[in-house]
Order: sequence, then structure tokens, then C-alpha cells
Amino acid sequence: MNIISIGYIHAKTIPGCSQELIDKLGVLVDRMSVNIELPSQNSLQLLAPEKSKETIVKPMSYIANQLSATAQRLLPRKKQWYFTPTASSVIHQTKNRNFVPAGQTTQLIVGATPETDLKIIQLSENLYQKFHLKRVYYSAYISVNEDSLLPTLEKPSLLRENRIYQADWLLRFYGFRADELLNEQNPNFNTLLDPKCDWAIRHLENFPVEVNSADYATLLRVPGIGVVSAKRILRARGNCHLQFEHLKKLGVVLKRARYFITCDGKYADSISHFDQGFISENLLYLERKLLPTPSYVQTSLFDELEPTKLDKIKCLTGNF
Amino acid sequence: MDWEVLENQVYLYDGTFDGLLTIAFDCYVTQSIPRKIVPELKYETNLLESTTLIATDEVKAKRIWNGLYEKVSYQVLSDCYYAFLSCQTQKEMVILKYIINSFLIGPKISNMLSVDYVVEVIKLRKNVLHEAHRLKGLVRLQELENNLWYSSIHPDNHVIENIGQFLMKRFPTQNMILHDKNRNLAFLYHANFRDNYQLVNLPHHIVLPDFSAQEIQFQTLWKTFFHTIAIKQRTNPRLQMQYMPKKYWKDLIEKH
Repeated sequence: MNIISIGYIHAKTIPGCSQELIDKLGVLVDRMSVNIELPSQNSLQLLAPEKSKETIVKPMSYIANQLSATAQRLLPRKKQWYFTPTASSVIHQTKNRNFVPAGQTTQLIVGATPETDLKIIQLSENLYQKFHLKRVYYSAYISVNEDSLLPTLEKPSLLRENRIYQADWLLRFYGFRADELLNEQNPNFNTLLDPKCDWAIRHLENFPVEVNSADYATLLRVPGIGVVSAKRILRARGNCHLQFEHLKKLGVVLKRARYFITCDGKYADSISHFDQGFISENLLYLERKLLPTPSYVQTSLFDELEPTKLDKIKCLTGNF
Repeated sequence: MDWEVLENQVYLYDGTFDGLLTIAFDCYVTQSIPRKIVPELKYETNLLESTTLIATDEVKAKRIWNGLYEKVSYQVLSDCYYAFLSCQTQKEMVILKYIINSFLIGPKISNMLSVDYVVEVIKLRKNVLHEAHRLKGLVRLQELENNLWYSSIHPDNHVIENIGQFLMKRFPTQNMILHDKNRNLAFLYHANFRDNYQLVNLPHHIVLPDFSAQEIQFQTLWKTFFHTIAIKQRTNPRLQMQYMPKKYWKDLIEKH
């Protein structure tokens, strides 16, 4: 028998796909996706009239149902090496395989239609809760051809895509809800600050967090502390009382986190006062360095101005 | 640990993991640790230091290995092993301290992330496994004329075994040679001997058979795919270099 091994297959189904086909495909592939493409029924009608909400949601919910039905009788999650698809081996193989073992995903385009960020992440939140999707992929709209219905963009709005991905992670791994991150008054993400920092600054009543006693969920909400750092803090905490230098050793990035945490009741050295103005000023300064090509530079008290040679001479001679 | 530190004492060993475990055994018996441990071949004589060559003893090494596995934990043993594969030159002392202290402290040592040598060992291990993980996606096996698949790699750490074991499970029907050009090591696998492989030292210059006719075709196809799949508006060289650092480019077909 000629054995070959196949790595990973991701199948995309089209809207309105029949259930029998999904059943058959589901045992052959690892992951399946039904692409939503656009975040609302109106937009679909405008730009993709051959798709409708029902035809997308139906296969999606069918896959979700199949997944939860097979969850009861799951096979051990071992790597499976498959056989070449000769007639007999396919039967052998399908008997021993879970239905879509790597779950289902979807994809949608951001920026082609006027939906707000709030709409988009609410949609994602729903998909994660109702259909247990593994991931929602977002791609910034790129204009390929011109049409009166389509927006004309010079460059894809990659920053917006990035902010939505950051929020998506907050939904899936950090225990945030969509309505905590955005609301009707602020329906779009702050371009200058990432969603978690933005949330933290608006909710300073939850901070500072004491690193030595806070629980996992609370640690996760600190800007700059992610899943890995939070778990490391929990691991290390059993053996010693954590100080700021310990956190550095653990690999916790303090760039953002230091404004929001205390170790044994003490702030980091550089934190002179704990208020919204001070923290947001500093975070904005950090973020500005990371953002791609700032169009203007806002002078700040915290910019480090190097004295010029002339300044030094003036200092020495006293001629101002 | 309040053991005697032997000032100016340098232990030399043969550069194998067993050798380091032997040193750990001897240290445990004499309740003393040296100032430095260096592979014999890399040692540069220094007037102020006195050297002792520790011969690798498989029985002693086995006892430390089993001790770590049974009395401490698998986690600690694997931390030590992967840290040892690192290319860092001062890895031996931190691993030694980690091993010895793990016998005194027990399995919870791997959680003591505020202790220097623990942090260091875990960093080394992470570095090694990260490189292995990246290379698993970057190895490009190329078909030679005699039904043989060849790929050269230039890893910093000694990860060839890890990658080779992954590839032979992934492509069990393909006879392959994986060539670590930085160390002149080769990982050999033949499809007739499943689950077996060999690591051999290669001479500096080896002559390989030519590529098979099909191979050249596929390389062209792969390059065309690489260039046509790219979305011009989304090119992000910095991100690309995070996933496939420039130091690996010389082995990548699509980058030539």
C-alpha cells in the first residue's frame, strides 16, 4: 500500500451548499469555512446580491450542529496519517475521522461598506457564541476594479484591520464583551491607542491591579499583559513575592503594563501620578512611535530633546 | 545550595549531553561545582585556570537522566535537553545549576521564574524550540536524480534532529538527507527503515547528484506561485522577516 501523508486541508463552501455535500466533505478535511464576505444584509444586497444572510447562516449553523453532535463521541486527538484515496482506504479513513476536526472559520471584508467597527465586532461576538467559530478573518478592502457602488481607496485601511483583529483577540482570549470595547457613542476604534489601552483608560476605577494577588481574569485585562505573561505571573507567584525586576525577568513587557499595576502596593519608579491625563499622554507617546509614518509630530513634555552643540556652548559661556 | 565553588577550576568534557550529565554526577558526589565548563575542543588555554577533563561515563549519565525523569519531572529533563542544544557558549553552567538544584528543590523548580539560572535555561529552551518550529516550515526538500530528497539548512542551534524526526514522520515514503551546513552534519533517512535515522558528520565538500527534471519544473512553479499570490498593496517586508528571517533566505528557493 502506498502511504502518503497529507498535512492540513481547509475547504471553503459556497452559500447554499447542500447538507449531504457538507457531510461528505466534513470527514475529509480539517477545517471548513463559509465566508460571510460583508457584515450586513444590506451590504450583501448591494455588493454581492447572489449571497444572502440565510444562505450563509444555514450551512454555518449546520456545521456547528454537526460539530457539537460529534463532540460527544470524539476520537482521540492524535495526528492522523492518511492513506492514498483508493476506494477501500477512503472508507477506512472516513470511519476513523472526526467531522471537521479543526473547526470552522469565516472571513469578511472591512471597509468596502459603511458598517462601523462596533457592528463588525458584535457580529463576530455572535458568531463565536452561536456557532463556536474558531476564528473570524478580516481583510481590509482593496479596490481592484472601479464601480460606482465601490469606494475608491488609495491604500487598504490596514490600521483599521489591525484594530479589529486586536479586538477580536480580546473577545476570544481575554474575556471582553463587544459592548465593553465600543458603544453607540464611540462606534469606531481609537486610531491612536489599541482597544485594550483605550478600554483601560476609560475604566481607571479597575486599576491599579496588584500583581501578587489579582486573579487570572483581572491580570488579563491589564494592557501589556497577555495570556502568556498572565500565566507566567501565576506560575511564578507561588514561589516568591513579585517585584518589578522579577516581572522583567519573567519576560512581562512593562512598557504599557507599568502604568496599571502595583507590586506589593508600590507603583513602578517612573510613575509619578495615577491619573487619566498622565497615563494617556504617556501611552499615546509610546503608540506614536509604533504607528506607521505619522503625518505630524505633536510636541510633548516627554520628548527627549538633545541639547545641540550651540546649547552646550551657551551653557558653558553663559551667553544666552 | 551551599556547595563549594572551585575557583579557577575548569571542567572539560566531550561536548555531548551525556558528558554534561556525567559532570553533574561528579559534582553531586563531591558536593562542589567548577567555575566554568567548556567542551574540550573549544577550550583556549588560560594560565590562571586549571583544567580537569571529565570523561563521559554512560552509567553516571544514565543515572542522572533517570533521576531527573523519575524523581524530578519530565519537564525539567526536557528543559535541560533542549537548552543543551543551544548554540550559546555559556549554557553548560546554567544547565548544571538547574540540574543540581532540581534534585534539591524538586519539580517546582521549573516554576521559579525569578531565579536567574531557571530563567536562563527556559530562555535557551525557548530559543531552540522556536528555531526548530520556524525551520519546520522553511525546509525545502528538493528531489535529486536518484529518488533522493535533499535540503540544506543553516540553523544557529543544534536542531537538525528535531526537524529531521518531524520530516520523516511527515513524508515517510521519501528517502531524505537533511544537511546542517553550519555544523556539517547530515540527517539520513531511508524509507525502507521506518522509524530509524542516522546523524553523520559530512566532509566540507560533498558532490550531490543533479536535480531531477521534475524538480526544476516544480521550483519554477513554486517561484511563480510565490510572486503571483502576493498582494501588492499588502506587502510588509518587516512582518515577512519576522516569520522567515534573512539568515535563512539562502536555503529558500523562492528567495533566489
